[in-house]
Order: sequence, then C-alpha cells, then structure tokens
Amino acid sequence: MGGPTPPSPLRWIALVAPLLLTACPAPVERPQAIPLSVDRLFDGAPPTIPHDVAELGRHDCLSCHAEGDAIADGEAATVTPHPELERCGQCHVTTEAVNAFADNTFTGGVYPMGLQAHAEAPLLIPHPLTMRENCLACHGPDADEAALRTTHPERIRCQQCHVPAHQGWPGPRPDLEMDPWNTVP
Amino acid sequence: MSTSRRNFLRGMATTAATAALAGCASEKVVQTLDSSLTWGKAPCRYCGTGCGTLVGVRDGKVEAVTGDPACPVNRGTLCVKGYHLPAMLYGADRLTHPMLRKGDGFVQISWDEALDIAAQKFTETLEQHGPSALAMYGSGQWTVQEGYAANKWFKGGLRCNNIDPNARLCMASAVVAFYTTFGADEPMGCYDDLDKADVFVLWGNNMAEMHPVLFSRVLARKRAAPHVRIIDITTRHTQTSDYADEVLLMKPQGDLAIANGIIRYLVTTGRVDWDMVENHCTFKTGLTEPGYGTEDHFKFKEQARGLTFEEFKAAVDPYTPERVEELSGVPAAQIVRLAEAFGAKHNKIVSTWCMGMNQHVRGTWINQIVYAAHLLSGKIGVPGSNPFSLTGQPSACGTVREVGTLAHALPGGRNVKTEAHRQKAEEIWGLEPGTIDPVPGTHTMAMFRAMDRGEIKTMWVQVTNPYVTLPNLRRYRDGKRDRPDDSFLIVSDIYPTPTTELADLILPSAGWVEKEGMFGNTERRTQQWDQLAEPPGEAKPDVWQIVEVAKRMGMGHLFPWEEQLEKNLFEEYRLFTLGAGKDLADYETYRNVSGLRWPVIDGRETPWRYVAPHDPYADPDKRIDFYSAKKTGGRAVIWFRPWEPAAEEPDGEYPFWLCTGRVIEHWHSGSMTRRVKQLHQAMPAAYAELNPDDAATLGVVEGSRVRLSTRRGSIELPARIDARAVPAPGNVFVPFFDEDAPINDLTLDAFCPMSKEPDYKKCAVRVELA
Repeated sequence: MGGPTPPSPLRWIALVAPLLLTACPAPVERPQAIPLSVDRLFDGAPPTIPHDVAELGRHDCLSCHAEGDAIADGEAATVTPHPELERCGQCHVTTEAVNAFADNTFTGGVYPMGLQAHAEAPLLIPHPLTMRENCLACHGPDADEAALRTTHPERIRCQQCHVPAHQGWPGPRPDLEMDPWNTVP
Repeated sequence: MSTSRRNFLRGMATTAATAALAGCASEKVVQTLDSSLTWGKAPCRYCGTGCGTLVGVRDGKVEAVTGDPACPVNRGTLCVKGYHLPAMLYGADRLTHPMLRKGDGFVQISWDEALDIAAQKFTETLEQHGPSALAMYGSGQWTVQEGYAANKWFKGGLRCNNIDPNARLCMASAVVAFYTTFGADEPMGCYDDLDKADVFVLWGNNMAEMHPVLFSRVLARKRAAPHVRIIDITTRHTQTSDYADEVLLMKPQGDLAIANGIIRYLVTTGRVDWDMVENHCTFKTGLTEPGYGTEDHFKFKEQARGLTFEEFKAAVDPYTPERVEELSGVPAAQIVRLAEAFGAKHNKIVSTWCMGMNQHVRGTWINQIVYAAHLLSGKIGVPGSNPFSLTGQPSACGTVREVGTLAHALPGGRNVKTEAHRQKAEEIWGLEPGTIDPVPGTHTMAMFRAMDRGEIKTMWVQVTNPYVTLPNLRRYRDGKRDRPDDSFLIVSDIYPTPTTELADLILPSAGWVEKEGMFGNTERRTQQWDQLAEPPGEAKPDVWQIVEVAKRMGMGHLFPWEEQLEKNLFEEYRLFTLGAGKDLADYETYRNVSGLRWPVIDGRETPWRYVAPHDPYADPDKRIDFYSAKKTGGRAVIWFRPWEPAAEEPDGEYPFWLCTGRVIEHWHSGSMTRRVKQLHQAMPAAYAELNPDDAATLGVVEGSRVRLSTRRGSIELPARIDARAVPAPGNVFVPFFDEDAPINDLTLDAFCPMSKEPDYKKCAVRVELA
C-alpha cells in the first residue's frame, strides 16, 4: 500500500510530549480553519499565481519567494516551502481568464485548525506533510497568514512536539535536505 | 459547425448543478478536510510518466490528491494537472446515462436498451458485411484490463483485427523502431538513468511542459552535479530551452540530418565503440522515398538489406557538419559540439524524445538512427547512458504495446501474422485453432478513411476524442456529420465532446479511480489501483461495457468470471507475459507497491533490460545481451536512413511551417482538464505562437486576431508573441487542446509509411491579419 504511515517514534513523542512540555504557551484563540487567502482548488493543491509574470524570467520567482522579501506597503511575498524545486511552472499557473469552460461541482476543502489532544497539549499538525516539509515557510515569524505564525521559531525541530493529527495521512517527501531524488554525482 | 446537441447536454448538467448548490449561502463552499478522508493509491490519470498519487476520498467522492512520497517515479511531487485531479471528475456535465441519437438531439435510454442496441448493431454488421465493416478505436488511456478485454473480444470473439488505438497517433514510430532495431518493444533504460547522466539530449522534446516531473528530475540531477549539460534540439525556444545549456534551433525535419551528422562524426573520427559494434550490432538499410501515405489505400513494403561497415560509412559520408547545417539550419559548430558529446568516451548520455520524433513522416527512421548514434558510441546499456523514448499517455506502454491493442498485435509482444503467436493466443483463450485472422486489421488512419468511404459500418470509440485529434480533421469529422447514416458510431466517455456529439449511441463511463485498473508507464512500470470513488449516475467502467455487449452477442464464454473481473482479466493476460521477456507479477503483488518494472522475475523488477545483473534474461558474461533480436542473431541493427523532405513544405502561397502540440495545463483534447477551473483559467483558449520578427513583418502584435490557412482549412486565433515559447523564424505553433478552435482542421494526414503515425508537426500554412 502506497500510503506511508509516520514512523513509530512520532507516536511515542505524541504520547509523552504533552507531559514534558507543559511550559509551552497555551494556544491563543485561532480561527477554526485557515482562510483560503489564495486561489487554490483545495487546501493541499498548489496555489495559483496571483500576479502578472509575463516580464519575469525563470529564476525570478525565487528572488522574492525564497525568503519572503518585502514587496510593497509592508506586504511580504509568501515563502515557498520547497525552494529546491526550481521549475515553479510545473505546479503554479497564472490566471488568464475568469470564465469557465463548463461548471464544476467540486468544492475545495480546508484542513481544520486548533486540533489538540487536550487543552494543555501542543497543537496537532492538521494537514498532510507532503510538499509542506519546511514548517517555517508557512509558520515562520514573518508568515503571510498571521494566525499561522509560531511563537517559538527558535525550537526548529517542530515535530518534537507537533505531530500529524491523523496517522493515515500522506507523509513528507524523502530526502528533503538534498533533493527529491537524492541524486549523487 | 453546430454544437447544439452538446450544448444541450452541457446545459442539462449545469441546471442540475445549480440546483444542488442553491442551498448554500456563501459564494465559496468550504468543506473541512479531516481524518475521515480515506487515502488510497493510484497512478495519475494523465501522461506516460506514471506519477504515483495518494487520493483522499470521503463518501465516495475524491476530495484531495497529493503526490505519493513512496512512489519512486515522482517521490511526492506532481505537476499542475496532477494536483488538480480531484476536480477533473466533477465537471457538472458528466455523462450519467446512456443516450441514443434521435433526430438532432439525444434521448436518455436504459443500460439494457443501450447494450442491446450496441450488440444488435455489431451482429447486424457482422452478418451483412463481415468483420471488415467493424472497428474499435481505443486508447493509450485504456486500462490494461479494458484493452485486454477489447482485444480478446475483437480478435478472439468477432474474429476482427480492426482494433487500433489513438496511441497510433502517438508512439507507433517508437514501436516499429524498437522492433526493427532490438527485436522487442519498449525502452531498455528507466528513470534512474535521469539521475546518473552527464549529458541530456532532448530531441524535439519540450519536457518542461509535457513531462514536467521527469524534467524536474533532470534539473535535480543538474543541481547535484553542475557539470551536467542539457542540449535541446527544437524548432521553438520552449520553457525547456530556458534551462538548456545549448539550444539547437533547427528547421523542421532537420533532426534526420543532425542524427546522421553525429553518426558521420563517430565513424570518420574513429570514435566508434568497436566492442559494441563488432560483438553486438549489425548494419542495414532499406527502401528510400517510401511516400507519405496521404492517399487512400496507401501501401508500403520495406526492402531491408545488410550493409558492411564500409558501405555504411560511405552512406553517411555526405552528412558533413556543413551539409547538416544546410539541411537543418543548425550552425555546423553546434553540430560538432553535439557530436563530440557522443564521441567523448566517458560521457554518459541520455537521449529523450516523444512526439517530435514520433509524429514525423520519417518517424521510424529518426528513432532508428538515434539508436544508431547510441549504439555506435556505446552509449547504451549503461545506467545513466541510454536512448529513452518517452510516451505521452498513461498506458500507451502497459495497454497498447504490451496487451497489443494494435491492428497487427496480440498480447505479450506477439502479432497476428505469426502462426505460433496466434496458436498461443488461441490456446490461452480456449479457441478453436484458426480462429484468429492472420491478416492485420486497419490502422487508425486507414480505419477512419474506410469509415469516411462508408466501408466501416459500426465503430466503437472508447476513452478518446478522435473528432478533435485526427489530422486533416475536416474530412473525417465533416464526413460523419454530413453522412450520419453511413455508419453507426458508439462512443464511451465521461464528458460530452465533439466526438460524442457525432455519436449515435453515447455510453457514460466511470473515470480514473471510479473504477479498478492498471496502467503501464514509460519505464515499463505496471501500476495498479482499486476503485476508490463512486461513478456518478449510471456511469459504468468501460471494461464492464465491453463484457456486457460481448455477452449479448453470445460471447460470454470469453469472460467467464462471476466476480473480480479486473483481477481475473489480468491473471489471464499475465500468461502471455511469462517467459516472453515481459513477465509480470501476480495481481495481488501490484496492490501493495507503487508499481514494478517488467520483466518481474521471482518478485524482482528489472530497472535495466539487456544487461546483467539487472535483467535476469541477460547473459551475465556479456556486456550487453540483445536477446530479443532473434532474427539478427542477438545483434541490434544500426540502420542507415537518409534525410528526406517533409510531405508538405512552405512555399510562396503557404510560407510558414505549422507545428501543433500540448501545453502543461491541458491533457490532450482538453475534455478533462478544461473542466478544472484553475487549469482552464490559466490556459483558456488556443493561440497562434509567432516569432517576433515574423509578427513585425506581418504587422501583427500581441493579441491580434490572425487567420491561419492551409490547403485543408482555415482558422482564426489570437496571436501570442514572445510568450511562454518562441518559434524559430518561419514557424508557427498552435496547441490542439481547444475543441472550439480545432487546429487539426488544418493539419495534414501524411504519415510514416512504416508506423502509419501521422506528422502533426509539419505542414505549410499562411498567416494573415484577420
């Protein structure tokens, strides 16, 4: 079966972490679900590109989206969680028209927020980790969505305390530190 | 062309969808994805890459898709089409009930009536006109089981070989070149080669848009090893060219000259791998000027003959860098640099190609001589060094080529002409000896020409959309429209298309994970999936449709299984593969893995064919063992094939080359991807891509309406200049996904005489401001 399950140490951490980490700040009041601030088919589909790219070359995406550089009026560009995948157009497309070829009844979903084992427990990761292996891309102190920002970015190893809410979810991609295919010269 | 019937269908579905959504207060319906999603695996529905996906399902509906991190093909990544798969199934105008043509519209009928009508039409035609008046036009998107059932029913039940797939339009040239060079179809290499090569040579292959996940794998290799070079041979500067170290911008048809230029360099500068050539190869050539197949009843007979090395050397001698420059337009210095890459002893080279070399009036030839360059230089059979023919459809390999749904083929690499092959099929199928017709049926172009002449009376089309995708489309589409009573057309599909519009009987199909099935990808990987979601309305799997019609014709004995139809069909098909060099594992094994590359022997897959220890069939004492090349004593054939001109070249009246192809957002004729909002909105309509200098000469600016005309038809399109790709001067590119702007009205139905695969990349066109 192709559906990977998280390695068993994660389960162990999930059980003991709440006991060890009672000093963690209690979660602040958060929305029930991440608002779909970008156009995407469902939470987990690649967001579409919300701006014109006609004048941009192939390396230009990362000049703003690698680090989340300021763009204008205090706005910062979103940070990509996978800067090693340099062919952005493989997954992200622009919007050239607003009509529909034919109606579609699919309604995109979002993952729920605020899941935790009990009131004092660290938040559970509410979404699959595939293509979202770099937590700080979305949860860093400068993250685009304020509600998603971590209060403790210095802890680095997020999955020490936060574990996926559901064991059946697709896991992270392998060999993230290098590249998806671990190509050795 | 009237679209009233199809608009009627679309309209009906829209009304139903609006009613369903009427209760929702907010504009945006937001559901919560939670742990109640059940995840299962399936290969992606679209191209031949075969990415593994994980599919999240709730209440019988697909709600999420992600790349399968455990699948070695894609390791968790997908392309934009794959990520948007969930919406592909839920276009509001899904076909949900069988429909029968009545006057200018359709009426809904029951499955019983529909299947009875289909069986009656087949029976009547068979009785009145014989099997030559029947046809089945299938697809490289058929699952293995669908193709197997169709093939068995047609060749074993109806005793009719008129079964051919749209893959004829897609990779037939690759197939013929594989057989004539190595004695067996399909690549020796695999995707692991992409992780190990030093040089990538892309032959007319816009991989960044057409095989995006594989291209990212190429880029990952380049990041890990900066010495890696990408050499792009192309007629337009594409998104792939953006990442290339060298772009060889060539005249259409120039690839034949370029490959010969490489070969001449190797043989005249002493850079031949003599161990490979003397021990594992032989030289041949064949008939020249074989024609272009544009006339009905075209015939071709190869006249192959052996050559000595000296004769071969003399034959390629005219292809000096200067002569190649003349024929291809590529500067001689670039030709030499490319040839030097092949000549450098320790370079590992992967050549990749797809439609650029296959949809080519000399498609078999160009495939053969690219193999010749790899064989002569010894760049073959080494991990990281292999010629690699890519396919465009998810099961062009697994179904069409392995199950043999071509007019001449039988399962497991067999053909109807060979008595022993027919006997094997008759034995496995439990048929009387002599049941199978030894004469090949009609290939796709001959089939549609025969239909147009009124000779094919009943045709069933499954999983494809020929009345958008056939070349010289007006002849075939308008012929059916203007003479609807000449033939009875049955079409199985999931959406209304220009093909269902011309149908007499429409059968609603289950799509992708709404049924159980298997695909076989470009690297010989067989991938299985279980049914994960429910089809809408009364939609049914294509394989069920075939079996039900066969039963109604008294051919139920061909499909004797009461349950587990897909598993039983596969297990029977598997008998054809064992010992034939295409060995497959048992069905249950595939349930638990992200596919396996055949031959699978003792549970172990084969990443590289013809070389030990990777391939158990290969002699471990040989560097490479072309064991399939039985007719040539285990030697691969190095073919000499000359440059010859295209079927139609630009002239004073039609001064530009017209090339057609795909874009990253859309799959084939767009019937699935255009119904996904994000994909449609990113690429809403076809366009004519012009070179900026040509545009300036014509007075055309970005967005100008231009009229394109060929000897076959005319179409108006918006011009794109300096957009995602830029054609070489004198070239125009138009994508074919847009049924509302069918560029195939203009294309020419010339084909490769050996493979019968049409050339969608070359004809002469006039461009004017509209």
